[in-house]
Amino acid sequence: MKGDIGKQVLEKIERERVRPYSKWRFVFRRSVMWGLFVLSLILGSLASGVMIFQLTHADWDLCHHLHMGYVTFLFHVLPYFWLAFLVGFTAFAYFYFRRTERGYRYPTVWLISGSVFLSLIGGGIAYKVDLAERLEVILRSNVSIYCRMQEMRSRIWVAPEKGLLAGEIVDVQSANKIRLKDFKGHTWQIELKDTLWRGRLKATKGLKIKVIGRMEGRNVFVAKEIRPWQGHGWRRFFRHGSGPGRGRCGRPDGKSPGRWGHEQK
Amino acid sequence: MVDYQELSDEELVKKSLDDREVFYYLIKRYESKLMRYINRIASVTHEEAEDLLQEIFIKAYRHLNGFDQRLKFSSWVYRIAHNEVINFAKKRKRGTALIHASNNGDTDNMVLDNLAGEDDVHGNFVAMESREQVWQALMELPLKYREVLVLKFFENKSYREMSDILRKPEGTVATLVNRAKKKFLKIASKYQLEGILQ
Repeated sequence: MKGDIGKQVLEKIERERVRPYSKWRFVFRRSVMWGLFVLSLILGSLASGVMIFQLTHADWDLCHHLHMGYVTFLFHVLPYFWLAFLVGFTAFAYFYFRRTERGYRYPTVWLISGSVFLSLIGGGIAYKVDLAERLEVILRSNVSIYCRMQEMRSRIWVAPEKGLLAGEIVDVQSANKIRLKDFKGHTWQIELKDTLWRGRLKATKGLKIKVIGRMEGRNVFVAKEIRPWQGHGWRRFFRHGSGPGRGRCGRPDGKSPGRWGHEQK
Repeated sequence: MVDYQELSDEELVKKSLDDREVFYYLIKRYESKLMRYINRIASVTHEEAEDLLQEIFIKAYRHLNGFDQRLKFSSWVYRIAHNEVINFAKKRKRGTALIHASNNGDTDNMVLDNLAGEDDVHGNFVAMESREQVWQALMELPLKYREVLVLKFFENKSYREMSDILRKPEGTVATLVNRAKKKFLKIASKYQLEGILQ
């Protein structure tokens, strides 16, 4: 080695007035990394909370009706929008944890599965305390694009040849006959014979319903069971008067709001 | 009167924050080790290596308050060296060329001498007949593989230390070492150096 590196370094430090960075700079950086990691986990928890909410309120009994396995049905009802968010926030959580003081020591698979696990735990809590439902309500009420995305998942119900129909009651003709306009704009004569009405519903004009039964002719559908458009999990939604009927989710086709999922108390 | 040479690295770090002259003792402890390390992982001229070394120590001095006392100082300063070498390669925009370049002159001899140093070379390397061929085989490896071999077999670092230097999990480091050994042996077969690293 030619010169004395130690002396050269000290001279340069003095000449260029190099000073050690303040320890607060490092404390701040560490805090930012931990803060962003925790924030990613919280947002991941909210995403998984809404996922849990949507999955628990999916019509799982349709599996038998549609002759589908649970896995196949899961692919139909999986909330891909929130799944994408969960994946995104898990990636952020991984990224920021890796940048903490000793985050690099943990294997990637541990960090990712740990982040997903924590998000699911947080999501379970968010679901339990109704935070997930509130978020869903707020988004459905205020974000039209979110509404339309969610309604895509409801298309499973517009399959009369498979015995599923959903739409709005346009006319109550008698105790055994109603007319229903489905989400594609097609009008059906619904025959009510020993029909099971779930959710304490009563045939009312403007009510949005889901019908399980069988198609008998081009415009005739025999109803075995009728359900409210949104199940019992949406009670708070309507009680607070901020349901889709009053917000952006007025109709599945995005037109004027109606009385979505009107339930009788 | 404090005998700074008796103090641990961590104690010297604390004292350097109050008195920059104490930092000199840390530099003295690590200058030759880091110089060897730089020369082993990057083909640079002696002047470039000295400039890099200066930058490494100045960066270390600037970041003294960020030194995590739970780590070994040596791992921390090697990490800075690792980052500086990578940045240097990027800055010169020679990337692969820099790290694959055939060496010559002083540096060549110095690296070969370092390779043969008794105090830090793994047993299998000591036994080698052709230092130059080992060096050439090593230089044909991509930087990430060469670096782990250098840290493991030349610098005698543990997997934990390598993990702290490279900021990778120990398992990943072990995988890199295994891959690097396989790649090295493949290249070494060209130079009839089989048996090394086994």
